[in-house]
Amino acid sequence: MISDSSHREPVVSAPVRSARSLTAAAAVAAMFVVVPLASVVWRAPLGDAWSILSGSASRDALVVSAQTSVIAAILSCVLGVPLAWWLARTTARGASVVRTLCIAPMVLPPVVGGIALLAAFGRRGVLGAPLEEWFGVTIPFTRAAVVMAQVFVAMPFLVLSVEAAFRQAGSDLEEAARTLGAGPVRVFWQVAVPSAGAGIAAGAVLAWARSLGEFGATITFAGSLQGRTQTLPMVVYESAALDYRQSLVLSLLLIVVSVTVLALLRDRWIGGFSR
Amino acid sequence: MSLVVDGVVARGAFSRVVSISIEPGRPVGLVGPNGSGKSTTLRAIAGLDRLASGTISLDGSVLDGADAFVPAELRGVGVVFQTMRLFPHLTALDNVAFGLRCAGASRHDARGQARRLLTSVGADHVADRRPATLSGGEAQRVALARALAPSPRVLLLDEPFASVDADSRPALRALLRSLVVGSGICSVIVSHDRADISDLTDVVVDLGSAG
Repeated sequence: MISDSSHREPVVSAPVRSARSLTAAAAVAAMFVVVPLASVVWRAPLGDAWSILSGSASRDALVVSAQTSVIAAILSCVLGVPLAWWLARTTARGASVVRTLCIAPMVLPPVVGGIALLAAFGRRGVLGAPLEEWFGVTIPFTRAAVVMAQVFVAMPFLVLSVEAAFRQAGSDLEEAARTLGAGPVRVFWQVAVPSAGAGIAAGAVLAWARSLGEFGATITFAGSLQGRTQTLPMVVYESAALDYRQSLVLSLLLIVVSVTVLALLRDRWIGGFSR
Repeated sequence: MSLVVDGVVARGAFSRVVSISIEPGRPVGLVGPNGSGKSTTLRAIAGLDRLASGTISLDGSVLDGADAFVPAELRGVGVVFQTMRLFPHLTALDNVAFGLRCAGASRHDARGQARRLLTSVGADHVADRRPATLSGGEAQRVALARALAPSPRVLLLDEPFASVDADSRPALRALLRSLVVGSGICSVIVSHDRADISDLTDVVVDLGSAG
């Protein structure tokens, strides 16, 4: 778990007499995950990686993915941090219902998220129809739709991580700030947010990584138009049958990014920020 | 011109009747065993909790009553918390400047005044340090300066010297006495330390006796 820092302080305990069947099961589980990842590294045509990455589909998707995932991570913070604070501090009835609904996208099939976004913001959608009628704004199958799909799927990761950080920080400092004359907005920005800084940073990185990998909701709500809405995972999927080598190289890129993010969260940010 | 608490303080399942009157410049000591409602009373005066019933008034205006409640940020009640609660991400100077900024002072003015306050409590040498690097006595001085910075009408001190070593206490008591006694501030001090109470307060209210 990312919040667990116990790996920093090795505890010497009596050697457990190994149950060999358990060790074997653990080995099988680890191999089940590691072997496919390693196979991508093994099979990827590293010599041609550069020419593949600079091909037009890859290059366009890299730009779209880089841009949309960063914007989605920022939007997730802007919207998700206040939600996390409210969830951490409220005593309102029904808060747990709100929490459950808001983090549902974590367990929902992403394609269902895409359908939900279409139902709300599609051209015939609950909000989409009036948007188009009154303002001439159409959202589906645009770059904005890519970002919305990513925020829908990624923000819950940030909300959970940041809510935990607010809870851990407690409300003592916020109370102290209030006795010094700080209103709710100042308390939030100048006391609550800084005291949950590590959790917010971790949540933002998680949300970014999840946005970068988003596929199901995005392809349903935004389609896969090269140079407009086609992201890296879509190119990986579509080239799996047409150009397997390209698929492998882009997959390797996404694996490297994901593993790097996990390593950073574990070793640097969580450990480095903890007080 | 006084702070009057006359009502029922409550927190969770706990509640009790409290009746105190505090005059400016004449600190009141609040004593009693654990669980007798000392901290709960301070929280009610600070506006962090509401009274279950009754009123708190300052100079005749109601802070907490049946149909009035002034929230903590508008009360002008300074608090030195038992665990200090200094903001860990700010320097000692910016901790003290915080309340001045809330009152609308510019960053420059707030820091200037905060530095003078730190000097007056003998902690100007730690101005640029973070709370985590301060000793108990230094943190205590910073917390006191921070609470006094916005010129509160009421100052509440909850076990103010609990994290200060015994050698530093007399100097801090003298400092506090010089700042509070004879000033226009209504102050309440909660302490287990009889020396704090006898040194600093003229009036003692024992919550253990009338529970």
